[in-house]
Amino acid sequence: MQLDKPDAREKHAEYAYELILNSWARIGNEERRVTLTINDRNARRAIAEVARGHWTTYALQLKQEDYIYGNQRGRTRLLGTLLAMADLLDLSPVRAGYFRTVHRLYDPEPISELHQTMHDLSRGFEIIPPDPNIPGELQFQLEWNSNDAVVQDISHWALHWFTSQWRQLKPVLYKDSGGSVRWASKWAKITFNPPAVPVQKLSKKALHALNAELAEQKRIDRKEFAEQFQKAFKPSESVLFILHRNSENDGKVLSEWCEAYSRNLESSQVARIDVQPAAVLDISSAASQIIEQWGDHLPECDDEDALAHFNVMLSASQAHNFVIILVTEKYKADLLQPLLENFFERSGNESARVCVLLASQTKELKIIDGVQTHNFELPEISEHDIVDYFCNSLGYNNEDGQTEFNKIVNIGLKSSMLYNYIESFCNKWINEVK
Amino acid sequence: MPKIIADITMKHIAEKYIDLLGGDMKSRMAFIACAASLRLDDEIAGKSVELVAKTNGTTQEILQQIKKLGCVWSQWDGTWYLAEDVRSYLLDKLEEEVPDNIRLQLRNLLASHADNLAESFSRDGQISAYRNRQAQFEAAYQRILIPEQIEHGAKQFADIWRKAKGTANRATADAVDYLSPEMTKTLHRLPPEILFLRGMSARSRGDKRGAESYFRAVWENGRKGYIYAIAAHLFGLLVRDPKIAEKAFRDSIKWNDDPSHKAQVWHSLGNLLSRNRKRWTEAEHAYNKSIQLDENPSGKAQVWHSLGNLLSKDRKRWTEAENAYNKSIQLRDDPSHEGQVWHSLGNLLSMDRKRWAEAENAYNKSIQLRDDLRYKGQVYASWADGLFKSDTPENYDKAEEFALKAFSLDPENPKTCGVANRVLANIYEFRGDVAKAIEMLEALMETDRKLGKTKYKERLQARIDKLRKQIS
Repeated sequence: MQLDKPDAREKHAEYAYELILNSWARIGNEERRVTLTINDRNARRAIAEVARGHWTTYALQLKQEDYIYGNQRGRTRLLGTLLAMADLLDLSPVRAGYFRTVHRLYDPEPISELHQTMHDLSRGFEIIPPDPNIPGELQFQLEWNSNDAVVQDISHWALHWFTSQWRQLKPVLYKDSGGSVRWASKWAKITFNPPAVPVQKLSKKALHALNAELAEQKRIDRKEFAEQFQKAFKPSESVLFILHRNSENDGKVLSEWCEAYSRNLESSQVARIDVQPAAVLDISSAASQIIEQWGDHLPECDDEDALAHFNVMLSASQAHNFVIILVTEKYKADLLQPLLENFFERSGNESARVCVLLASQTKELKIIDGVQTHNFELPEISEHDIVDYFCNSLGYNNEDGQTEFNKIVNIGLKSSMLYNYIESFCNKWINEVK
Repeated sequence: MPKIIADITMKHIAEKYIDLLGGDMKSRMAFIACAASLRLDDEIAGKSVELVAKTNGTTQEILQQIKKLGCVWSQWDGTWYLAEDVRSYLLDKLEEEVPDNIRLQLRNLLASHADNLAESFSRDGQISAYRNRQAQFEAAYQRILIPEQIEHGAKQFADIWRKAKGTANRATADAVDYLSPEMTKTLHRLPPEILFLRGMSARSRGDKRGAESYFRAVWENGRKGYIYAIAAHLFGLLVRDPKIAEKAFRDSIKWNDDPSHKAQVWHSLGNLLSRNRKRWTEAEHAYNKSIQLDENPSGKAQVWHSLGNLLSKDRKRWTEAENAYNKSIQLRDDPSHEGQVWHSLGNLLSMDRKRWAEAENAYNKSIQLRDDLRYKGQVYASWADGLFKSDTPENYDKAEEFALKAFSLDPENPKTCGVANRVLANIYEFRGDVAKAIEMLEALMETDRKLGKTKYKERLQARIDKLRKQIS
C-alpha cells in the first residue's frame, strides 16, 4: 500500500493495477513507480487486471478467457474470481500487522483499527466441505478468539459484506470452474470461542465506527432523510427532525442509525431518551438522563436547577455537536417543550444542535424560533428501494432481488419487519457461540 | 429461525410480529409474556418468558429475536419495552391465553423484581431517584392486577404520588391515568387511590368536569385518610352546588388531622360561605379557624387577605378589613401577593372619599409590584372605577385614561373590560357623547353576557333605548 496516498485503502485495487501496468522499464519515471521484469505485454496486462480483480467488481468484469502470455489464452475470470474470493475471506491473524509489533508509532484511524482488530481476533479459518460425504460443496469456516457481544458485531459486519460479495462471485465461479467450485446452502459457519488468552479490545472511537458501519449496512433507503441529517452537523445549526412513529414503519432502525452516525462524528455529545406514556418522568429526571449520557451526573434537584445545569453543560462544553434522540408516543409539551427550548437556546456557543423526535402524535409541539424543522412521515419503503437494497447491499442480482421483493409483498410485510425478514432468510451463515 | 411465514396481510400488527418470530406457540407465549411489564431488563424478561412459555433451553435465543423486532425499543440504559400499539393488544392475549395461575405468578414475579430493583438504587442523584420511583411504580402496577394485592398496589401508587415532588407528582398521576383503561379491564372497579390520581391528572390538564367526577367518586365513598380528604377538598372547589361543596369541605376537615390541610380547607370553606350574606359570620369563623391552624406565614397571609375582602363588604367593619389587609402584606414578602392585597386595599379605601389619596397610593403600589400586564390592567380598571365614583368631574379625564389603559393591558378579560366599559359609558353619557355611550353600554352587555351576569340586562337595554331616542 502506498502510504503517501490518503485514499490508498479505498482505491488500492486501482493503484495496484496502475503500478503493474506501468512497471515496464521502458515507461518513463513519472508513470513508473516500480520496475517489474514482466516483459510480455499480454502478461503484464493480464497480471494487472487479475491483481485488480481481487476486488469483486473488477473480477466480474474480466473476460472469461483472454490472452495471458504471448498467444496463449487463459481463464482470467476464473483466476480473478478465485483471487477475489480468497482475498475476501482471508481473515488470517497474520494480517493484523499493527498489533503484531510492540512498536506502534502512530494511532490508526478508527476504521483501520477496526480492520486490524478483526484480523487479530480471528483464530483461523478453512474453506472445506462441511459434509465429508459431499466433497464438492464448500463452506467457509471461521473461528473467533472471543464470544463477546462486540466480537459478534464485528463478525456480523464482516459477514454481511462477505455474503454480498459471495452472492456475486458464487455463480461465476461455478460456471467458470465447470461446476467444480460450489458452496453449501449455508456457505459460512462462524464459531465464537470463549477467550483463552487476552484479546484486543476496540477503542471507543473504533467501536463507534463499527456501530456506524453496522447501522449503515442495515438501513434501507430513507436517503432523503439521511442526507438532511448528515447536512445538519454544521457550526451554529439548529435542526429538529420529526419522524412519525408507529410499529409498522422503520422508525426504530432510523433512530438507531441516527444515534450510531452521530456518535461516530468527531467531538459529539449524543443522548437518547425514550418517554413511555406510563413513565413517571419529570423534567429534572429527563434532563438527568441526558446529562448522564453526556458524561456528567446531576444531584437530586428540582426542574429549574436541572435545566440550569443542562444549560451550563451546553454552553461550557467544547463539543462541536449536540444530539438528542427523543422517542415518545404522544408528545407531552409540559415535559418536553422546556427541554427542547433550552436545548436550542444559544448563548454564543457555536455547536450544532440536532434533535430527532420520533412520536406518534405531536399536536402539543410548539415550533421554536430559529430552529429548522423537517417532518418525515416515513411511508412504506418503495419497491425500487427494497430491490436496490437487495442488489447493492446484499449482492443479489436484479432478478433475485425482485423475487425477494415479491415474496415480501405476498407475505404482507411492513417496513418495520423487513429487517427481521432479511436477518432470518437472507443471512446465509450459521453462528455458533460457545 | 422461522421456516414458513404464513400470509399475514390482514392481521393485527402484533400477530404479524408473532409470525415473524416463527408463529409457534412458544414464541407466541414468550412475546405475550413480555407485554406484562411496562419495562424490561434481560434478567426479568428471561424469567417471565420461561415461566409463561416454558422455553427451557431456548430462552435467550427467543429473547434475542424478540428484542430485534421493530416494535421493541431499547432505552439508553439497556432496558427495553414494547411499543404501546403492540403491548396493549398482547395484554388482551395475556388475559385470554395464559392460565390464571401462571398469570398471577408472573405478576408476582414482576412485582418482586421491581421491588428489589427499587431497593438497589442508592439515592445518589436525580437519575437514581427517578429509577427508584419508576421501579416502585412498576411494582404498584403489577400488584394492582393481582386480586389479593389490589389494595396494596393502590396504596403504593398513592404513596409514590405523595412522595413525588414538583412535576414528578403530576407525571405519576398522568401515568396512572394512562394505565387506567387497561386496569379497568381487569379490575372492573378502580380503587379510590386510582380514581383520585385520575382526578389529579384531569385537574392538571384543565379537565374540570373529569376532575369533578373522579373526586366525587372518591368523596362519596370516603373515610378518614389523606387522599379522601384532598379529594373532598378539591371536589368542593369544583362542584357548583354550594350545599354539596360545604359538605365536602366539612368532610375533608374531618378526614385529615394535619393542621396545614385543615387550614387550607377552612380557608376554602370561608370563601364559600362569604358568598352568602346570611352566612358571613360563619365565613369569618372559618377564616379565623384557618389562621389559627396555619403555621405557615404565607398561608396565613392569603387567609388574612380573604378575611379583609369579607370584612370590606360591611361598612361598619372597614377598619378591621384594613387591618386584615395590612396583616396580609406584612406576613408574606412576595411582590405578586403584596400587589394583589394593595389592589384590594385600594378598592376598600376608594369607598371612603376622604381617603381617596391613600386609595390612589395603594393602586399605584399594586401596579409597581406586579409585572403581569394583565393584572396591571385589572388595577387600572378598579382605579378608573374609583375615580368615577369620586363624583368629581375633574377626575373623569383620568378615569377615561385608566379605563382605556385597562382595555389595552387586559383585553381578553371580560371582568376588566366590563368595569372599563361601565366607567366609560358613564363618562361619555355625562359628557353628552351619546353615540360613544351607547357603544360602551353595548360592550358592557356583551361582557356581562360572557360573565353570566343577566341581572342588569333589561336595565342596560332600557338605558340604551333611552339614549337612542335622544339622538334620533
